[in-house]
Amino acid sequence: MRDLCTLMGYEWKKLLLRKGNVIVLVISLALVCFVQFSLLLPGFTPHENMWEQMREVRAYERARAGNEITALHEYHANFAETLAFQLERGRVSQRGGDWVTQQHEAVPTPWIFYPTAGFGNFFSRSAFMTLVIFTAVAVSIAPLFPNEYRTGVAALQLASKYGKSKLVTAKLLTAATFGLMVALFLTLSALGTSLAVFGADGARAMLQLYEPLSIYNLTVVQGAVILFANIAARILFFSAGVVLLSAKLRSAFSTIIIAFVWIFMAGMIFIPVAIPWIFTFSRLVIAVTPDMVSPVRSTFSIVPYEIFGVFVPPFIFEGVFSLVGGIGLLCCAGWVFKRAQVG
Amino acid sequence: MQLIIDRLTKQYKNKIAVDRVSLTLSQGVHGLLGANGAGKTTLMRMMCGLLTPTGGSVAYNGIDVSREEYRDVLGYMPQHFGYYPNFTAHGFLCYLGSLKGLSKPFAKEKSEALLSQLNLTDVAKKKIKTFSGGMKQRLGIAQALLNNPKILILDEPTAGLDPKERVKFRSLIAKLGSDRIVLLSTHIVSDVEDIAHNVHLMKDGQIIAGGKVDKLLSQGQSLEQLYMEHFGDSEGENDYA
Repeated sequence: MRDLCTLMGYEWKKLLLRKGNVIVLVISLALVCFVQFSLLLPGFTPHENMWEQMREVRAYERARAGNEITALHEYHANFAETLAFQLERGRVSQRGGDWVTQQHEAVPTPWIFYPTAGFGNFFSRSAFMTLVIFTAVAVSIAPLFPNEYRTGVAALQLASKYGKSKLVTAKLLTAATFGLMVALFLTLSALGTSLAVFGADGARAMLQLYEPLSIYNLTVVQGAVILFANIAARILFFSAGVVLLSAKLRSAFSTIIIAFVWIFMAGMIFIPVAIPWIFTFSRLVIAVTPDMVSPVRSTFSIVPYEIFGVFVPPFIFEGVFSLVGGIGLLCCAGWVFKRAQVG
Repeated sequence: MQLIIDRLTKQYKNKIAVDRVSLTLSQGVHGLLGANGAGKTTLMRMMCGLLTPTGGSVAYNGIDVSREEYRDVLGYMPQHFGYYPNFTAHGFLCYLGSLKGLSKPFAKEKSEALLSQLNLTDVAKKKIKTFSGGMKQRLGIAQALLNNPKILILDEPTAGLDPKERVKFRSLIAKLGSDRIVLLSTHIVSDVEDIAHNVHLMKDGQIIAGGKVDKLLSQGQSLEQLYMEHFGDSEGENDYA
């Protein structure tokens, strides 16, 4: 175990010693933080004095905090309409519809208003943030294996005692932990910036204040944690895929190109969603990409996954799917490097 | 202590790089002489588990080349020594020490001792990218010795060394051969002439002659003459006439 930790330390050191990685991480940090408040800057919006307006809105919302929300009939009408649409398209079975209705009814009422602009802004920008995290991880870990072949160190590694065992495990764990750390670091930075600019109020408000069609009884802060866990699981799957590509292709450039295709895949492919199994498949494809439309909407979607008659919320199923798939891909990457031949 | 290579073969699509090579190596220095492209590097890579043979086997005291126990007693210096340019010599040796299963303090201690032995103490804390060719080569030798290997495989280790370093290196190899198996490949006869107990001549993927140096040579013949006898044509000696 101690040998493994030592080797992981060296792998981390190698990643952080690369100037390119440091530059990518700094740019990513600047981007995810900047985008949180960019709309308030003059020149980024046709409206003037956005900053001043935001302060006024915040003061008004704070004054209304704790009041009941009375217009719930709109919410119920929207829910009924959305569920009917999903049932009609066959994306939710009749039993699934009953389960969704049960969840919906379990959401406590009356709703209490709290200002949630800080969290709301973070949720709104989560698609861009996820895209930046995926890009940073792809560029940083793509050279993990190719670099060994490029420098010629692979020959020394594969001829050493742990070259085909602990080193491989250390590399895979480094890729996974690096991806998770980048995700955590950038998510916390983005959230921190958003809360600092728009206020940290409303952590215990209902998630429905931001995402009215959510059927889950969660607070805003729980929503943020689940969203991060989901992004982390996606990143684990993605990191594993990138490492597998890098072990197989032995070229950082080719790995980055394919990783970019992967990142933008969900946005490029139009899948006819009228056929239920294709719809499910397309959801799983999106579950392992940055989801450039709305990670919040897909994570807390009204449509559950139905597994052998059991209904699982998307944030649980997609998280577990990415996690298990990621571990499977990591094992494949290890197998590829162990069988690598030099010469 | 025996390293047994049994009908080892490596075939690429339409080329046999190593053709049914069988050797039994015991303690001492073994020279592997051959022209460029004779198959020396391919043979050595298979002996280090870097290439999977098409046929045949390599085993040390019954331990197959594919096993961790084999790699635990192996020291290898490739023809083109790879390194991380931004690592220091000391840091790089410590890293390889960890890969070879040495504890951190022992790897540190051993690295310092080897850097001193190979006259690299002054540059131990300098980045490897600032090293000259000879210094890199010495670092390559140091890394091969980190785990005090029972099998030491050196692929063209004297390339890039100046004459003084070459002499020092030969005496180091001779010393190392006293308690381990050292296989040294080269196409420079003088590298092995005085230190090898056994010499194997390789041509077109096959061992064409091999054994104790004194038995290989006929009366008054030098190793260089023997080498020229076998490889004169392939080395293109007339080109410089």
